[in-house]
Amino acid sequence: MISDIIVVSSLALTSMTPILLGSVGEIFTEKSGVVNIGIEGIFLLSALISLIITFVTEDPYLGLFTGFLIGAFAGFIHAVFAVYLKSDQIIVGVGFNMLAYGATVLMMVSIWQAHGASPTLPTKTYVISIPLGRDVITIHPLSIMAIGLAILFWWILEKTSLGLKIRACGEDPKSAEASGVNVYLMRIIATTVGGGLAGLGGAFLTVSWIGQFTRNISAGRGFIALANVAFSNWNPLTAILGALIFGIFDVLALYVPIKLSSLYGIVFTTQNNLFLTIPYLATIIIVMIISRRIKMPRSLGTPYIKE
Amino acid sequence: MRKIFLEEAGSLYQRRALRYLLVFLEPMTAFAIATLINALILYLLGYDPLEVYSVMFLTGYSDIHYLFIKSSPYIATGLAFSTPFLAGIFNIGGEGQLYLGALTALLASYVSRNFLISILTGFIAGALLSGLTAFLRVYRNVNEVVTAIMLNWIMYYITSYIITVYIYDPFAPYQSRPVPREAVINPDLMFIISVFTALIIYIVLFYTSIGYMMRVVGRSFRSAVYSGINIKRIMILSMMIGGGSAGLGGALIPLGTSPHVLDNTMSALYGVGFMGIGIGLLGRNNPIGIIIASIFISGLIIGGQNVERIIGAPPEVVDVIIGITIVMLAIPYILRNILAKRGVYI
Repeated sequence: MISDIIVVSSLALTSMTPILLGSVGEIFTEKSGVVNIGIEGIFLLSALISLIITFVTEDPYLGLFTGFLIGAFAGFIHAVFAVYLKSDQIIVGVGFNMLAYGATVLMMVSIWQAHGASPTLPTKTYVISIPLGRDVITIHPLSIMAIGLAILFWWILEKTSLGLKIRACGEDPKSAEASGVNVYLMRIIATTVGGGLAGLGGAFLTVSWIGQFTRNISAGRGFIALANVAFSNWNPLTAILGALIFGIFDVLALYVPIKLSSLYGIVFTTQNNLFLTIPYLATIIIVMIISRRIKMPRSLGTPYIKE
Repeated sequence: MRKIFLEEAGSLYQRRALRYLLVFLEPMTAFAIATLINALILYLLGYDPLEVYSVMFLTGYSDIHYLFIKSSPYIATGLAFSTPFLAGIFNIGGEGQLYLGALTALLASYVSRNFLISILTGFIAGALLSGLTAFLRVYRNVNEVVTAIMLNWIMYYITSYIITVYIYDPFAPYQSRPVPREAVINPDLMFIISVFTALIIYIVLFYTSIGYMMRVVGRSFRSAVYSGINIKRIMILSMMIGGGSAGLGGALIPLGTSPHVLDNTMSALYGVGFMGIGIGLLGRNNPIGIIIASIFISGLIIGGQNVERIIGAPPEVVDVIIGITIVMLAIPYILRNILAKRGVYI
């Protein structure tokens, strides 16, 4: 039992990483008043492109960095649409997700002639392995780094003048502008950096964790990250806890059937589909329970129009 | 300021003419930009964009009869997005509502052996599922986009589970037993039912008080509050009409298209719900526009399948084009609102 808990939490530490990075990025973005629901699309795009870079250069760390750049680029494009073109941010996000899904499949087919999954990566990023009885616990350094980033971004948002400016843009852009803050610039910076963090999360999926790209690999994690933003009440520190909870349910979807079959000798094949609904059901229920207490940035999703 | 407003706005007739022009011009411009960007992507990936487009546009629209049949479920999912959108609520859950509609219609067809009861079951199931999303949004302040995406995945796995465990075909265990012959409908009827649904929703939206209230809620939340409209109920209702429509679209697929089964990867359904978002936006959230947009996009989808067969590029090319089109279409919405705030209504 205790070994189960340890194994599940170590696995959850892995599965929470993309969710945490996506959430922290989205919190940073939304604090400035821009909502980017294209996290899912960023995950897909950066997961695939970082994998391609890793295949070409055989350097997974360069892959991770590329993932960050792809995410930041996508965030920047979103920011241009949201800030300068005053577009409906939800629609831009929906369109971007669809574009990213189509484009990743297109790239996968044209590069590997594979319709379902890419080849597997020979070298992934370094993992810390700790033997524990019969099990081996693996911890990705990036998971620890993601928690560090969450703390760093909490510090930036709450304790620095840059964070104050960004939060002002999300709460009351008019007053922010009056007190000399460049609202457009702040929103561009926050959305670009936020996209970059999500991109790092997407790259983690392929380059560190799974080692290959499969069609729709993010499987709704981008939206779970969005749910986690509401769960955390726009606080990067609470987002760590939220990501851990969502990560645990993500692990349980695969761990429960394996554990049950080893305990009772039942072989689950088709029933696996039912277990796979666990993370999504849990997300709806968790968000439902907490969502009455949330307080979102007041100008979230509304474009700022200069007088 | 006042003077500029009068000059810019012009006469009522001029404004109306401008509006009608924009209704066509905006989607077409967005689509044209999307095809250009997509051509660049195709070129970078080593495909010949001209070859891809010539196959797509020349073969996609060659069989008009098939084109109309193909467009039927897309009309339904387009309505599923647009009806709630007009009332200011996003329905990204068309995909899940489509799965549930298809599954429940299939189950109902085994029992009732009647297509009308099956379609109605699909409609109700879709309406209830989207009603849940809207309920959580309205009464518990849960973001409807997140709920909808989660429900899409849940429905995908549950449908797959029920197909492979309870209603599998003993000779082909990866798919369901076929719809009983008595409940099978003619493909032409699919199109007629979809168009009929679109017309009913059109009448509801533009010629009934409920439709009027929906549009008020979507256009100006504050006006709706002050005029005493029950916003919560109107939002849920609009969402249920949309979800029901997606459920109906799902029901049509096993009932109307051969081989009248569902398989465990939902190959006949996958993506139809998501495409509804693009169709709704391209059709300017107007049921009549949605019919036209569905036929147009169905041609692209048929063309996309031919592209895969002839050139080898995957049919997801269409997703790329429509995705970019959606992004481009997002621009004029707010521009229009800004103009409206300055007194220029187009």
